[in-house]
Amino acid sequence: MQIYLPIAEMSVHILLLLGMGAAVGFLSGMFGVGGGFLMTPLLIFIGIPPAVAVATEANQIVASSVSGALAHWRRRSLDLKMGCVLLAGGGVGSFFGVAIFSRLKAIGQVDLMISLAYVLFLGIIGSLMLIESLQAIRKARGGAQTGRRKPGSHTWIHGLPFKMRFRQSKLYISAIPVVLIGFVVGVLAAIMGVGGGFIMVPAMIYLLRMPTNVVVGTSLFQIVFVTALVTVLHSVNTQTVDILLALILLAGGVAGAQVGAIVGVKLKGEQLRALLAALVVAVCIKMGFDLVVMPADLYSITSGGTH
Amino acid sequence: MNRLALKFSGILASACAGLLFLTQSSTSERITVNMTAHQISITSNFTGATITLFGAIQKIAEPSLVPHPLTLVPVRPRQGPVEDIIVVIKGPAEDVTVRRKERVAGIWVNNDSVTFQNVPGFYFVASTRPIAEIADDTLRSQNEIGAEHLSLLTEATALANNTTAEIETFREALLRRKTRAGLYGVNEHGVELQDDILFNMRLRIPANVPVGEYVAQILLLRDGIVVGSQPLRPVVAKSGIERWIYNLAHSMPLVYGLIAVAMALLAGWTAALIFRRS
Repeated sequence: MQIYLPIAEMSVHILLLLGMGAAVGFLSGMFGVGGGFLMTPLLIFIGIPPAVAVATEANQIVASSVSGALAHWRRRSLDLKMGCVLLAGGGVGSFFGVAIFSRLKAIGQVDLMISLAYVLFLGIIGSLMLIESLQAIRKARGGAQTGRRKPGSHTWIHGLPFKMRFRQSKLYISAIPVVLIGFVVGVLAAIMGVGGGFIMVPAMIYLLRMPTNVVVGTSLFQIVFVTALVTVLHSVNTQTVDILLALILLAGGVAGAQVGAIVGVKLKGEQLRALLAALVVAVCIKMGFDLVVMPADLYSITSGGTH
Repeated sequence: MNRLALKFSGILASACAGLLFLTQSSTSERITVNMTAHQISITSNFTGATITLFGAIQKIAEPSLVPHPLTLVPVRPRQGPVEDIIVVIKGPAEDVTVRRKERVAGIWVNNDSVTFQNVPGFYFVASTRPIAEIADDTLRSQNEIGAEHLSLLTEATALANNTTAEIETFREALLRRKTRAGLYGVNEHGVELQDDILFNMRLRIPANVPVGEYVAQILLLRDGIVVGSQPLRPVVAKSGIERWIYNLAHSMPLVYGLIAVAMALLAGWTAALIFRRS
């Protein structure tokens, strides 16, 4: 059954959308990653206007991260103070990101920016994941133990001013890097339609040296609020949030995530991670290819000028 | 079913024509037109629509020779003047920016752009015969028959920055993109004329059609001169939940954004509850 999306202004088969929601939900349930960085490119590939894809995906991420954030809240496995400082940066970042987005949309460059941002980030993350998982596979074959970096040692981060005490994380560090991380994630959420967990989680572990038990909860806490803010800002500035599209993706995503979580426990980790990495790299290559290959028609049209 | 609809519309049209014949005493030729739907609603399962325009040409004989009121004038001999129908349908006007990509550092980037004003969001021409055989250039540009005769306005800044030839390529690109999107089209045999009296045309409206008021101008030509015309004003509107969502998003964007967030929070929370229980 075809369904007409009121904001994207196009008809798409509902099973395609449900299937995409389920597939991405399955992957995120299995690997514990937010699906934004896969879903937004997929939406663009099926012809949803990139601006609508980004803003709508931000809306969907609100829903897909709220249950996780609530679960961590109940278990007290999140650092509320750290989350709020991240959020301060994230709020400014999302305003900044939406402002850039609106500006570029007006001059017809927003699609290019979205593609470039994706090629860059998917390229980096995909290759890092691929390297990591290949190493893990090799180590698993060799029978060697995977080593973990010990937290606690001092870095340049500890020399910065405006120090704050974060009880839950047992940290006494400067607020500057925390706000900066929040800011970057806010910008990415606004211009890419991602939660930004893939940047935030490693940054918290390796830069801030936060204990891993509060990292995911704190990250989800910040994601819920930042993507909610981005949804509202995009609604006001660019009118690109498609509630109907978000709902359909959600329905598929919720089901997919539950199945993914069950399957993920039973299957072997390293190979699957390598597979996900390959998928990320493939999406990156496809987006990059579309930028480089000569378009069939050099001209494009946009309705509704600035009058 | 379609044939039945056509037959029905034909009967309806002749009835209309007959009635008009009774009431009008003008000596000029007239056309009476109608269509199967005046409002096209875009609902959640909208995949496009087909409407049929139908009508009749009313020929009034010499006053002294008025036939029985309900009898339509018989078909004239073939040697007489040739009559044709042209239907021009235009969707709501909008501004359209045409952008041209250029290669910058290996990637294709939007570069030059020209904004056109007064661009119909939908445009379709149908006629009984190839338009070139029916109407001359003057007539075509007067009545905007054929996309190349659309009177699009170019922004002053674009006129200052580009040569006429440049603007023409942008204009051609605009028409090409619209045609490819199924929004512009022409069918030179799209109007079927029966016995020089009844006519009908089928109009296919694609799923990506813009909303707003349309104008269908039906022109009756005799030997290349417009002798009668009649406009129809179909409306394309989003309806149901689609309409509600679209209107809210544009008229109260802040409320819309807050609803979107509330809905997402509720959905996520509900899902968590459901799956925690199972």
